[in-house]
Amino acid sequence: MKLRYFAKQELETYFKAHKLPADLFDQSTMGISSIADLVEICNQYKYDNNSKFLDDLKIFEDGPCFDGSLFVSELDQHKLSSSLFENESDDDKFCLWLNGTDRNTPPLHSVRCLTLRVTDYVFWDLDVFQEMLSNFE
Amino acid sequence: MTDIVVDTNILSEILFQYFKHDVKRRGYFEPSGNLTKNVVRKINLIIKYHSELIFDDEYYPGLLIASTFAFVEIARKFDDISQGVYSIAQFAAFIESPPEWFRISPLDFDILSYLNNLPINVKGNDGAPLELADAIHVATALSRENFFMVATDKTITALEVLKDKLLI
Repeated sequence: MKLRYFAKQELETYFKAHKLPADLFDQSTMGISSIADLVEICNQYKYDNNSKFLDDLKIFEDGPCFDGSLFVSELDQHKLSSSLFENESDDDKFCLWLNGTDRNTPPLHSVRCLTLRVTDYVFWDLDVFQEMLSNFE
Repeated sequence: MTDIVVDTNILSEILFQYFKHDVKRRGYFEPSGNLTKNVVRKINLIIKYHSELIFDDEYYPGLLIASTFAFVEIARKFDDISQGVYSIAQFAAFIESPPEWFRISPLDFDILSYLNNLPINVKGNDGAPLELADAIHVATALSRENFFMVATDKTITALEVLKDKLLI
């Protein structure tokens, strides 16, 4: 099974139409998303005065999340601890991971980076993270 | 049981004092800045209960709680907030293994329903918008069974849903 980044725009489309792209629908691919995108979508529903967020969220949870077509990476203590820091390769200095702490991006983008960072504890590879970065360039 | 949930500003003050005055060893905070006498008294009760390994459900005072998101916000301004009082390694150690009286609450699916119920503008603060970052802290508080919230932002403190829930 292939793994790929499932972009915020694709999540928004799913929330509107409740339909998955073909590669996820036929289960040849699993999509990886971030809780940061769901937080932003939740907020957008409020700005749109759309009261159906929880209904659509339930369809999302009971559908592609339940059947394994989609995985949403959340930010718990363990994920935070394993993603927020790194050792700089040149002098092994312990420091904050720049992608997760860049003040030139919104705080929720930091969450997006931290939740999708490739560490020893996640099952996706660097392509997923790179696809996410490309999506926000 | 009543948990105390804090926003990023208050968490910053807690971490600053925690490391500056070695609260882990000393076992109590002192009033300073936004950590008022009343707030500190309640936090110290929580520390005392957990540090002395009292197992009495009747007097269980809850936990001190902040969202993972609050730690991300601090990390983004680490030098400004830590002011050299604590290192990145100490910050990492706190996140990896916080004191027994502290919980780091996840940003997860459960938060979304609480977030969804919050307004986008706050009536009590001249209709000022509730920033998403602040909304996440409030949603974290609302996700607890019983809680008090300690926050500095006026849009948070003006929220109707936090009436009688603010610790000042």
